[in-house]
Amino acid sequence: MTRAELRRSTGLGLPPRRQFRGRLFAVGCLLASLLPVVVGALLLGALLRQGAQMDEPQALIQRLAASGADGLLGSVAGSLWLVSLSIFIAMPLGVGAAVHLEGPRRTGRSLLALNMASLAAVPSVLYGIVGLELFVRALHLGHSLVAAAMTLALLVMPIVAVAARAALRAVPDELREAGYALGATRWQVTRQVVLPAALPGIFSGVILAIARAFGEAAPLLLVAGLAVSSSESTTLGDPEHVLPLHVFELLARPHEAAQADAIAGVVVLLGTLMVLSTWATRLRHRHERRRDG
Amino acid sequence: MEIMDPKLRIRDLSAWYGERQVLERISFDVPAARITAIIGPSGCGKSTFIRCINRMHELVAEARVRGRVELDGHDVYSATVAPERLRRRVGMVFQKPNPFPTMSIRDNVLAGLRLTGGGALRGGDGDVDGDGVVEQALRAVALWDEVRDRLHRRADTLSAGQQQRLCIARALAVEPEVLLMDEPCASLDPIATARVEDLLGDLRSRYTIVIVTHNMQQAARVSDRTGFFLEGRLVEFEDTDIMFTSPGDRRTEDYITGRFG
Amino acid sequence: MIALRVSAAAPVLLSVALVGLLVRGAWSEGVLVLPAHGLLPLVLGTLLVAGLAAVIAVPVGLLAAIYLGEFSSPSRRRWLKPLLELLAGVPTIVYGLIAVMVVGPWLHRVFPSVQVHSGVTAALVLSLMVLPTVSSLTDDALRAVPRELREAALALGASRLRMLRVVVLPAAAPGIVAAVMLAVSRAMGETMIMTLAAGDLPSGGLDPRQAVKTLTSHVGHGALVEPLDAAMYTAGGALLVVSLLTHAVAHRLVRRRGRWS
Repeated sequence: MTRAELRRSTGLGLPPRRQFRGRLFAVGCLLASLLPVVVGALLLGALLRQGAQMDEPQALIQRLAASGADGLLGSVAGSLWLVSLSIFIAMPLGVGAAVHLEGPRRTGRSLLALNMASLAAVPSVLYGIVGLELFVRALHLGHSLVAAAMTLALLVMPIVAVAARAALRAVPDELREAGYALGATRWQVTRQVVLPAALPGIFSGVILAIARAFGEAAPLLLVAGLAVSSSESTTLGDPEHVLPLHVFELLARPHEAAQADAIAGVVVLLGTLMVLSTWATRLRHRHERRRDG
Repeated sequence: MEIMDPKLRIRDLSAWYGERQVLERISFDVPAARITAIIGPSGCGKSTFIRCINRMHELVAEARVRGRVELDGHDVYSATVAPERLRRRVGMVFQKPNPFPTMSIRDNVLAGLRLTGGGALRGGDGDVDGDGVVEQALRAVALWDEVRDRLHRRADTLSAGQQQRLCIARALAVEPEVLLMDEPCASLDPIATARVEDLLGDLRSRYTIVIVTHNMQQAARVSDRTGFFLEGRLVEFEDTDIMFTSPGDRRTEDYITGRFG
Repeated sequence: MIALRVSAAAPVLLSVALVGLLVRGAWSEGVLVLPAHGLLPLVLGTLLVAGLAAVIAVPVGLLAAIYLGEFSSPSRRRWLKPLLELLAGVPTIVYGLIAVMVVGPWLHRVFPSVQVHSGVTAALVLSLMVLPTVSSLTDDALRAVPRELREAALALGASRLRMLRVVVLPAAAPGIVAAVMLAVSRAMGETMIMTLAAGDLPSGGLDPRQAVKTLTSHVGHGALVEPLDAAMYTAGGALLVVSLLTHAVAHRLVRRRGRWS
């Protein structure tokens, strides 16, 4: 019997075993995609439950209110300052780099882009070393909030730049040409036509950068000078009192109340990030709708 | 048009993409061991039509089909039919040559056997005479002499025409009964096209071929029967000789004389 | 215009400063200062913990990506993928807290030989953090495989499983390897989880059930004890070299992927 004849004799149905195997694999893949989400949620739940068991909520709130600037609330304020400052520095730098990279071809542009890509691979602690050497020591800013903000600005600048590049590239060339046809210079076209059109995309990159700066702790370990006694800290603000670092320090303290505070800190941190990411997603959706529609 | 013992019998076949209906109640019979051409202006649903025969249409999200397609009298849309099994008996060649770029020429020819589980229906690779299958399939598409000494080179080193013939060889290697061709010469130059058309003549006796083409001369040259599609409907289905000499419908005449399309 | 040049130059200045500082700081009186027990245990510890994390994250991430790219409906994919990516957005300090307060104690309770602060604890939590890197980038690589290749495989009668194994995965292989490399690179550079969860043992053993010292945890712990000493710069330099190497390989692979898209 030839293969074709053999095949015809078996008809068009598939042996149930084979069909079952295919479905089993699909279900396995589904489970694998749900597993990390479920595990993450369970772990977070366990952490929060542990925090709830350690301390009465009211006692926690009272302690937080009482501790003032040194406590959790103070660190939230510190974080807000830090993040605002670093974004204030990173945004013009990132957008500027993006405009430069998306401008007319210049020599070395691909090298610049490669450099930007490699910076994304640099572990964030190493930014801490740069910040410590350049800002804390060389610029004599001390273990200050300003030094910390500049360090974080370096860290999140590539995020802004990447988002801004994508947003600039999405601006249709007809818009640019329309501007040039009216006799505008390159600078005028960029500032008055291209950047406004790319603004929503740039903005969602900025929100990503805010989220990153808000949760980042590793470079601050070095810049904050945790090993240095706090008497040396300067008038420019104390980076020890930012949220992620505060949580880290609380964890280092052995007694339980501090750990409950740390968990409360996590709740604040995650809550803020949730708000930020929802905002960014909404913004991106609106932007995409406008572009497609 | 009813014929005795057709290879494919299509009855009231309608197809949709989402809300948009692209085929409307198509009915005709495809005779065995003949070449059937489907012609019509672009967007008339002819590609969708042949994708309904081997159930490729349903791979597109939101695609729907209604009606019957029978292969040797069995409805291919019945619940017990596995599309994998059906597609082994109904091979397909696409508009753009699509050899597997990560595989050698030889592996491309054998890809169908590997993809459907070794040699015969039961065993593994051991059952198949791999070299024999490769040579036979490549000879069938007149590619053997061109590539015999570079079977282990990557398939994307071939020219577009050679790649398309390789794809036909790949389809033939699984020994299908029906071969569906979706504008197989659309991306080929005239010389490569002529070679594929010669090939169709050789394959005619052994396979039932359904070829979609927007090239009327091609349909006239190679096919025994021709169906003319317009806006998702079958306008006319006739012997090719009759269709191109004395079409029964005004619209067919307008189309084949080049008044539109 | 000048401002633009400055901001474009900032990354270059930053990288020059980084390399310069690390190189300068690592020397003391003309001698390269090594950490107390040499550099090798730290590098091996980093590879051990990051490798363990990858061993857990890669299979799960690959299957998840296959689900997202091949089986999921578009609507389910729209919420599942961001949900997975959320895991990468959780601040590492939170993961550190989870590691020392939930995962570590739990592991110790179930397997008494595993310490609360240990290589496994860190690796488990790290795997959760890098999993989205694997799944999202692999999903991208799978989706970059042209539809024609999938259709070619299915038209030959392949089941989805075979199509994946024989055609799609080999075509996406460079992108998948790049995804894994990037995940490993991220795991190696992670500081907070390593510092909090991997333990602080001066000698730095290589038993994952015990404390394991890594390059980043060396720097992290050092920061708590004293201002930077030269050995920390050396560790930082090694970290930079290792991460850039993995990243460069991944980068090349991603670019090679462009061949069939």
